[in-house]
Amino acid sequence: MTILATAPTPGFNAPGVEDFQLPPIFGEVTKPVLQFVLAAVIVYAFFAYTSRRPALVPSKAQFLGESFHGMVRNSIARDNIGPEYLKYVPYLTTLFAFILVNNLFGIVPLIQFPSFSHPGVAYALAIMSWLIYNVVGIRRHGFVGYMRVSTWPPGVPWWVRIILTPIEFLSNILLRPVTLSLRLFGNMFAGHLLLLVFVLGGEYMLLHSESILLGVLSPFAFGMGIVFTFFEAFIQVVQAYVFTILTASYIGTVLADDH
Amino acid sequence: MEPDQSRGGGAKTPPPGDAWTALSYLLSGFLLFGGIGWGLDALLGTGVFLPVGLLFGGAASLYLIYIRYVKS
Repeated sequence: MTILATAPTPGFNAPGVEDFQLPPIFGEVTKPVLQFVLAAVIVYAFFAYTSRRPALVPSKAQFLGESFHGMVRNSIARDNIGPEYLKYVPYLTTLFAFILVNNLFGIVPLIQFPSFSHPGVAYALAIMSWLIYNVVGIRRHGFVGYMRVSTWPPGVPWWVRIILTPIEFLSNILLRPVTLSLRLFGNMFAGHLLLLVFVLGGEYMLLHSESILLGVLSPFAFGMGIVFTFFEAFIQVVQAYVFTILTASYIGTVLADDH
Repeated sequence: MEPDQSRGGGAKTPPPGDAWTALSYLLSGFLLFGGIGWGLDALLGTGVFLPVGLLFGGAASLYLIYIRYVKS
């Protein structure tokens, strides 16, 4: 695979993993690192600005900030966590905003690189959510009680438990952070790759190809690139939403009492 | 897990996150018992335990989803 990908072949070289290995700008700092810092600043600035002078009759900015917060609070936190949802709203709101901004960087002109297209950073976020729901569960039920809640299916004979408890342990304790991060990383990686294929393919057809027909057809490749940019915008919002809603759902599950 | 009135706004509508959680059960079933089957095949030099394990794991996780989300 690597030999095929790196060998300079005549014709079109399809974009691949190497297009995600950006060179450091200075020291060890690469473009995604700067994007994370920028995203943190944007999220902080957004909420600081929209809540700077809270009034009973909200300004446009305050309305925007409160709508965002209210959406996370009602449709993500309250529906998934239950009566104690209020405590987790700040984390969930920040999480949603931070992932959303980083994802949208994938289609923002001049930036155009989704920060989470590297799995390592997605793992970092998932581990944070994993720590939170496990700690919440252990504090609520004690360690043994928590294990019982999350790996002990209710109302089944003991020999069925022998089969089901390992599945639950694997799913709820070990696999959740992996699926959480791989879902985010995979979507961002694949989406960016798709855009690269259309845009670089179009560029090749227009500028480097010998065939006139390909040159004439190249606008269609660029057109598809634009269409998929809008599609990516949708995916980026959805993935930020899914990551947040799953974190809320995991917290809700460990808080629920087992009967 | 009892259907909590406060989650999902009532017992009828499940919280929206549950669909993805159910998917992770399915994945775990295939992975665990498929993995056991694969290991047995590698140890014994046979080829029958992997498909049996996959089917068994899939069935077990479907049953688990039934217990967690439908029965309770």
